[in-house]
Amino acid sequence: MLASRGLCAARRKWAAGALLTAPLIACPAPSLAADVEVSSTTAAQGYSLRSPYGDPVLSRRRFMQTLGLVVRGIEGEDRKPGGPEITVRIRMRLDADFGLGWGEYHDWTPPNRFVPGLQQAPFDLMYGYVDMRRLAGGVLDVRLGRQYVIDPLGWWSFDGAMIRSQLPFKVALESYTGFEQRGGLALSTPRFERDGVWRGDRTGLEPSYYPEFLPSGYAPAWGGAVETWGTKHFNLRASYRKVWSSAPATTRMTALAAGEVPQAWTGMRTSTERLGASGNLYFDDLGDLRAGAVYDVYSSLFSSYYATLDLFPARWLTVGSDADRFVPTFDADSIFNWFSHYPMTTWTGRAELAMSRAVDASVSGGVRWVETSTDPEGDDSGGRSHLTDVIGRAGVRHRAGTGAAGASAMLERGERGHRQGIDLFANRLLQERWHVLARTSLYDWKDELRPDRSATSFGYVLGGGYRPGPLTQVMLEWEHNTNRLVGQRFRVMVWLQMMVTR
Amino acid sequence: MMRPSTRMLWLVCAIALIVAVASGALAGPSASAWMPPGAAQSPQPSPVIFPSRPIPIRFDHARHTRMKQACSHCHPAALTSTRTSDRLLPRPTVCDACHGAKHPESGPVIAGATALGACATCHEGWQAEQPQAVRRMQAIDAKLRSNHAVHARRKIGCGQCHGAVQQVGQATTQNMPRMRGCQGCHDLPAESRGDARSECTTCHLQGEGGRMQTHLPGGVLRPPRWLGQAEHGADFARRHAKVAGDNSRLCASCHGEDDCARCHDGRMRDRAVHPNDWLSMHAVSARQNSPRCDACHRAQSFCRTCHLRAGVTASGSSLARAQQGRFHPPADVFTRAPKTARHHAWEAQRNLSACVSCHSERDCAGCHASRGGGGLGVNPHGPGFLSRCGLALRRNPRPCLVCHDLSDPVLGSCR
Repeated sequence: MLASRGLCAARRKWAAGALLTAPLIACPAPSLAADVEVSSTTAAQGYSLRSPYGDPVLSRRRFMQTLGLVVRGIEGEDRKPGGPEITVRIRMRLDADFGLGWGEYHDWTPPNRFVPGLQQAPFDLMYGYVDMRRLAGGVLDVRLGRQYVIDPLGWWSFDGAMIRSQLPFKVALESYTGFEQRGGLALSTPRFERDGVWRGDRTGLEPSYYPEFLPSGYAPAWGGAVETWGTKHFNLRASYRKVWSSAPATTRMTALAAGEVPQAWTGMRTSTERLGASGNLYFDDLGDLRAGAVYDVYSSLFSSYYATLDLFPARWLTVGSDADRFVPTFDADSIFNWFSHYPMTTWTGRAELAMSRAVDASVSGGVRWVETSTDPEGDDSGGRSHLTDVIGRAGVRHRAGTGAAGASAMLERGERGHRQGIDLFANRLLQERWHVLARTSLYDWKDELRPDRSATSFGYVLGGGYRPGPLTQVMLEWEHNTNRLVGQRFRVMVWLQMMVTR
Repeated sequence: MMRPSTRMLWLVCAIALIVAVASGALAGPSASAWMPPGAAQSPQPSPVIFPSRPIPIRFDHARHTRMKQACSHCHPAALTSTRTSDRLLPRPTVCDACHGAKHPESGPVIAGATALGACATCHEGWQAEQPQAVRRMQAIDAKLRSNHAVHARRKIGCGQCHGAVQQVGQATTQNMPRMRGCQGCHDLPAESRGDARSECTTCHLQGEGGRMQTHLPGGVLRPPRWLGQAEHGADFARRHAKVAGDNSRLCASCHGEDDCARCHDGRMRDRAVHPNDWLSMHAVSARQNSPRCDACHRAQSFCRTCHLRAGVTASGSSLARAQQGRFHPPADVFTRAPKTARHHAWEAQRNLSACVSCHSERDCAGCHASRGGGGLGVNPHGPGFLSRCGLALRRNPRPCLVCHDLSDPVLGSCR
């Protein structure tokens, strides 16, 4: 009964998806002189994943396919340079794992392996929007549909409308409103929600079963940005975003009596509210200063701030320094915001050398420190203590034509363990048809909390591909890693990329 | 035996010498006065845009200019050309007028009577044994959209894009425009630049999705350092987030959503970021939070789902956890009082995100909820909590009610 309810829900989601995407796909009428691109990426891979306890062994048989459509020039035949421009962009994705056992996503009769929210073949709309640029005399951009936002607050996705206007005095205003993309809703993934709560589609689940798995619901959101545009020596951007949660959320979830229905908090409430700003000050032959900060309004703290200084002592040399301080913050539904935790601070110095057009190298080093109160449950009167990791990286790369080769090395050492290793890689397109790649690496790591999980590992990847045309490529990769934890681990991967244009 | 001060002096001198030699070696050719505008930043034009071609003709621009020959005398088509593919090189018949040779449309070429008209005067590698065989002249196949006619109508002189060609002998790709020079006009404020639009695709070829075409037969186009400090050097993958966060529209000139999603949607592993046997190594990396896991993964969805399947969680299905041993250090060290240096409270304070990748709220509430709220009353709140909890309670009471009963008097201190 429960299983059939789950199936019905899945069917409803597919139907809703089809209804949502059909009009978008149907949009480009053949009579318009529009440029159309249809592209597809298919990736299939197989490997095994063994639990640290030896059992279970998860068999991954992954198949991911995306299908994209771009229609440009919908504005019509009389398009002019600098005039209005209308584009439709859509990409859908199927991300299946055929290695999943039926019981993992369907059967919750105890004893079981059931994982709430797990789907064998989730299908989502990555983005799908109509982009209208340079309307109203070239000062207004409008975007409608599911879209990404990239700003000082991070990478985010919502369904709705965004308006951007370039005002005089080199200032642009951006405003958007809609619904955050949330896992458990039709054609959606949880990637863009703030962390700290486990959410998804609870259809068919008893209320007392995994009460910490919260039902998903629509999340209204709005936000905006002010930024400079067309300025020569600086760029400033300030962003604000607020998201609300609307679905009921279980509150008390421990010490429940048998059959007791957990209480839930209902009603609209803050999910995230953050304010971010970043700026860049640049001088041609001198250097570049970049800084930014994010203030979490709900948690009333700066969740991150950074500064980067780059100097250009020579045309081939950039030396710089980066400082970054970060405190994890979570969805406002999450209890984790209110657990005692401290910032992680990283400071590095680096040099980048452009030895020629073909060869470049970089080297960086620094420290990262994490903080604790001397008494985790105390009043912090004893001051904070620090643990410091030493970090270092170096890389060199040769790029010529359609090929590249290089090496990269890294090191991170501290009281809680270390990672260090080196990678050598090369890839090349031969005769504009044949693609070859090779990568080999040697890494060593030690986990001081779990010394039994420390290892030295050697791995290599060999790949080859063929390009029947400039827009189509098929690729096969073989990966082999060996270390004392897994013995031998193999991964086979096949890629197929295709594009058709009209 | 050298004294320490002498040794230090030698060391400083040696370092200075190495830096000086390296500077000379790495600096490459420097900009000359005859080069086009922008050569100070880019002494070499992009070989991807202007693929190098052998030039089998000896032609001395400086000498011809001294003889009062204008550019348009040999390159008349440059005034009317609207496409990059137009042939702007002079036909040989143009040379015949002065050199005395004859280059008919068909039939053999007849050399001039004087040395000036000899084939070898202009044609490099000409051999008397094969007098009619000369190496073919190939025009530079520039991967640009360039409309000479528009520039000519705007009274933009040849030198404004090609530099002082009248000062050089043979013109090479060094005389081709530099992007920084183009921006001298194309990056002016709208009211000053007229029709010289500043979109990338005004000059660059258009590729997928209407964006700039970056993958060309000669290689891949990448932004120079002076363009928003977005030079894609060996370290750029680690620092690109700050460039993108500040000016994502700059990135969107070349990159589409798919480029971001390829890594940041956390579906396909990038071996440059997650090398070797990452599945075994990732626990140490997650504790170091390097690279930042949340840049691509949502811990309570991506990480926890896999950990639940593998039985690496405190709660979860019975079969997945059937073989479960202890993941963390022994309870006496990690969980129970008194706290040791390896106690979980310290680890949580250092990097709470790592805890969230395995543990759900219920795992923590079992101990940290108040006694009336179903837990053991172990207070997890840090210093300064009381100053922030009131506002948070009003905006979203749900997290408070996970651990506290609505009637809990403790909540009163936040109201």
